Amino acid sequence: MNENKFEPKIVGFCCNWCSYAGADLAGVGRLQYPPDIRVVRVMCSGRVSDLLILNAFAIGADGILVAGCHPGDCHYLKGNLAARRRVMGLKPFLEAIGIRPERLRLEWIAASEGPKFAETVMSFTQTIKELGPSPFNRRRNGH
Amino acid sequence: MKGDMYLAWSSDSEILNRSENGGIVTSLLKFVLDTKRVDAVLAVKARGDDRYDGGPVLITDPSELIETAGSLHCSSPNIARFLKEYLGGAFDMKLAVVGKPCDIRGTIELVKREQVNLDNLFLIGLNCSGTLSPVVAKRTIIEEFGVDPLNIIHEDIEDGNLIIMLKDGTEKTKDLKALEEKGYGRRENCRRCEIKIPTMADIACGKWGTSNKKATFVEICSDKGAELFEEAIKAGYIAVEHADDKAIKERKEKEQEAIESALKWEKTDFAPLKNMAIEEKFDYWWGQFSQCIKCYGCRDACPICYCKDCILEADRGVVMPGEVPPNAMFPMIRIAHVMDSCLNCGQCQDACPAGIPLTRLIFMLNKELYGIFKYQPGVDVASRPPLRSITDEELTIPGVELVF
Amino acid sequence: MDIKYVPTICPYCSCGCGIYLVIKDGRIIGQEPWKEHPVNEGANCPKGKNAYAYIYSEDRLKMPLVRKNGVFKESSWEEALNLVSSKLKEAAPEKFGLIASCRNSNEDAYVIQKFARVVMGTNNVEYCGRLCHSSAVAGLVPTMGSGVMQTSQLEIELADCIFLAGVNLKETFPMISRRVLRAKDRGAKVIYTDPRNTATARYLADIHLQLKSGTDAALINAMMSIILAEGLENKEFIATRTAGLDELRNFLSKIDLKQAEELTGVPIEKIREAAITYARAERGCILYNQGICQHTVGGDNVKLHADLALLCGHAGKPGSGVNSMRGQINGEGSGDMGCLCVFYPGFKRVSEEAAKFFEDAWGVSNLPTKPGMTYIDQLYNCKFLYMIGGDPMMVVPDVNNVKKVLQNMNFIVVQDIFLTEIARLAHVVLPAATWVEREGTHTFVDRRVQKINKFIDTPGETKPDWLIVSQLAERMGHKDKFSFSSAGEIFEEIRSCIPQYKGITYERLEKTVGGIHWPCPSEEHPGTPTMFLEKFGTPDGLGHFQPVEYKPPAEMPDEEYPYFLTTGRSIFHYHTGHMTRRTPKLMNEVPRGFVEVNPKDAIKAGVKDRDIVTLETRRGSIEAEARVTDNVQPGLLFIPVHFADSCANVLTNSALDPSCKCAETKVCAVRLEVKR
Repeated sequence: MNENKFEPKIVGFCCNWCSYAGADLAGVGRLQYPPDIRVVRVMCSGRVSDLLILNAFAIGADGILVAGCHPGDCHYLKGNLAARRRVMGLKPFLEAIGIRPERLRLEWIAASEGPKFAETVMSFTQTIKELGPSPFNRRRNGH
Repeated sequence: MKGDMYLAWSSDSEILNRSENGGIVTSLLKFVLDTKRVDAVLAVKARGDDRYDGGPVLITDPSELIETAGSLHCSSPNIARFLKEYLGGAFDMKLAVVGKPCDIRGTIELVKREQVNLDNLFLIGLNCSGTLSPVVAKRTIIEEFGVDPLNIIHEDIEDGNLIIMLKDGTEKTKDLKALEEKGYGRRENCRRCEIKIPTMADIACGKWGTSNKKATFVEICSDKGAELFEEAIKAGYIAVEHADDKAIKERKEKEQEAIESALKWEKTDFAPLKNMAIEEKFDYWWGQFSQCIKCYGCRDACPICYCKDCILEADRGVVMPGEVPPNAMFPMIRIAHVMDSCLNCGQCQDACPAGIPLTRLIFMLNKELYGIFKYQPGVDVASRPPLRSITDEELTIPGVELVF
Repeated sequence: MDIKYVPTICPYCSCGCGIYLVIKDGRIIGQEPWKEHPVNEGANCPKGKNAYAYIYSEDRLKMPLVRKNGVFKESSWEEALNLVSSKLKEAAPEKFGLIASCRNSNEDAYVIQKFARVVMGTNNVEYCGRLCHSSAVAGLVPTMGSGVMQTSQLEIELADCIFLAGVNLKETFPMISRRVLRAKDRGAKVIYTDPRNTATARYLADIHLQLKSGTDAALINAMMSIILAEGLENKEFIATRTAGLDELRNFLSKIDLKQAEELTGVPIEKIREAAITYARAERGCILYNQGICQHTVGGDNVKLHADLALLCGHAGKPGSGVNSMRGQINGEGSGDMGCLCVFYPGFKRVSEEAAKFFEDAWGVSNLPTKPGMTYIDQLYNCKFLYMIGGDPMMVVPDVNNVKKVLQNMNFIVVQDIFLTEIARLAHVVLPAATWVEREGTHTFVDRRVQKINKFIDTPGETKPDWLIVSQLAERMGHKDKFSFSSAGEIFEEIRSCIPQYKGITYERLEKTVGGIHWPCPSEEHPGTPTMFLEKFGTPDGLGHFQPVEYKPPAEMPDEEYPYFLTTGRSIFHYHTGHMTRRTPKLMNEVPRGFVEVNPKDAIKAGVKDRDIVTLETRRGSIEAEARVTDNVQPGLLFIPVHFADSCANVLTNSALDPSCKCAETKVCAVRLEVKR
């Protein structure tokens, strides 16, 4: 697959109260970031279960970003802490079965952090472009 | 008191004769049943005189206990599952449960998940150097020892050897490591298991530290265990002497040897998996998972799995029904849901029709998670599974990763 | 509380896997792995994991049913058996048909054939094995002397080349797939013939010969011709253990490989690769099943695979041979017991000599000496039918015609555990006990005899099959020959007149986990896992080559019916589905009948995935849910056989293999239309 032509499919689970608002702010501020990310609004990053993450990989996501409130700021108090442990636990798992753990990223993005959202998406998209398609997608394309 | 160590033996001559060591486990079981401290006892018994088929039994009649005396190395019954699935988690009954360290640890993990009522249980743990799967055991005895498996009256694992005793009283010994390198011997998970002494039970019983005297080495591991033991002594069921330093040292040394051997096997088992390039890992594991026929054997066998409405069932909409192999979510969710608490009991790998090395993968992950979270499953009721619990301290830790 | 683990054998297929049932207060509440069992070592397939659910289905037959004024009424055994005996007394021997099943125990099957011969005076006794593995006898008796499985299933893992001929092993014999996987870990190569791209093709096979339906003969002839051309035949084996190569060689010299390629649709390079891989192997093992049997040339197809094995010397040692994969829990046993119109028990061919033998053994006279009618012939020619454990309305091709014929019968008595499709047409229905509700032995695919013990009470008024038949015999005046009071007594009689079973006793079976392989001539004999170690079962002990020419299927696609239709199985269901459709977990996996359609065909026919479509052949039509998938090549449709309201055999062709009367249920012509 031609690296230049690779348009990754990136899923961004953004929590309603902080990171989704931050994404909104980036948009309002006309901050540029690559269009490969598909943003999915969830009420809390803690809602992003193993199932959601693994399913996203299974159906073809090349990268998954989970964005939540900074610890201490979670609207539901501790949801983001659950997300943190969950993502930490999934990384060794992904690596063990052949999926680069860098394809899963957790980031804290406050409602006011429009620029941080844009930078995160920019850097994450670049990472995924360098990694290439997810092995699930390579399989699908007959590799 | 908790922490006390004894050499002990049964005051009942019939039990003492039937037992390999001091007959303590059988005597304690008899004590709790006679005095109605429990409604029943969950132990392991051979099916008839078949040493290769040991299964869980629920005993309410004390006179039946004598048949559970002695140890069986050629079977690996799933005690925690029996307790969870068929005895209602001991919510409605008081039980004494006898188990290997993995059985006890499985029980404790289930207590954390509110599937078993610890208050209703006496947990009597047995030292364990590992079990053999019955079919491999028979093959080992035929092909390596040149003996008819029906001719064995006793088998044992000691000082790195597999020892069999024949009906005519003769013994044969072979080096266990040599056997296992050829594919004989213990189950894969047992070989690499570091937890030989079940100090997470109420009472831990074994023969290390007895210098082959006809006694059992007992370590009291909890207040409940201490009380039970003292009362059993008072009631005349068992006799004891305090374990001296020599005995304690002997026990510690044997344990260390076993742990060292286990760690070597762990390296042997995990190194090939860790050393593969990431693309190789993908091809290897998805090649393995493609042989899955969706029998749910791994899920059923796992002591940790307890959901009545399992998310992987065909009517839950996550895994497409009627497909073989099931889609990627099946193995991924199975592993992700239990990996932080995997006990290395090996029941999933035993149950897999396709021979997928499940325990190898899931326990390898558990060890990696231990490296991150410092959580050892099944050892302390109070410590919570790391991927399913959060502490208030974490509110003030700003980064995206925690360090333990 | 009384709770215990009891060991038994799974009631589904013929692998004969061990399972532990968990019984609490007399009721099965769960099941657990039985790790000691050598076949499965504690693992089970999806059906095996849900083995006991069907016993407790609400619609289990519990009382005899007698049709009065067109409606079934519960009745007493007294009334029902009296009615049946009086009716059967009216039947002339040649108008009476008795069809047993592969689900009966050996004890049941033995008593059933004895009933036909002693009480009814006829050899019109058959079992459902006629419809699937009669081709084994037609194909293997002339070539190797016997149609039984030649190696033990455990030994399959020793093979270095496994040829899966017309058997979707992953879905139909998961426990034997396990052995194949182990062989592959040791470097074995797997060759697979199937028009479909099944799970076996994708994940087990190294060389998938995706041939067009019904062209196996052309393929094997091409393979053998290549092997001879390359000089890869096993000359030593041929010289010492076979006869007739010259005729075969002569025949094969005329094979045109280009023509074979065109006929089969398999490129020559692939045929060559498969042929050379098999020939070069140390220990080649052919496992075959309905993909080659259920054709008008089924017997011939089996002959050809035997020729191939003999040519390469892959027979007569553990983990090799030509192996009939009988699928049912007593597919081997019911045949051994003599539920065949041409064989008395123990494969003594029906004749004056055999009749005399059993007259002496049973203390009777005037046993029938002429062969009886085969299964399908009985349906079409008899007027009195006694059906035990089978359902022709699901398994015999051209079901609409079968129904007409059945409706014209004078009297049908069905003995079963559920109200099956044929039971709905019966005059009397007798409720039978099943599996762990009765004691009995079963003989599994590799001649492995295992015992199933009674662990729970039979529900309602049900009785074991052998007891019902014995009580019927008693009412018809033959009490003294059917005075069995236990399954054990029957087994003793079996041992006394079937030499292959002589050394097997209930006591030995109780003590031997994994059972005993017959032939077992004495109580000290350990049993015989592998057949033909020294010589074959033919009169001269040699393997005989039999040349066979390719013949096309009876009905090929044409303009009116443009697709090939083939039938088969899903791992989650079992045969007629009477047991698995009453198992909730299995129904959740595959709840209804479906038809596999290739994406290109789907576009042409305007079919989308999950559309309900009508399938029609010259015999009839059914509806099924479309599955658009590349499991099937363009021009081929596949339907499973498990669903009564989407019954595959409404469509299938009743053309028979003349050598064995096995029907061509694997190939016919069909058309497809989206249901509007």
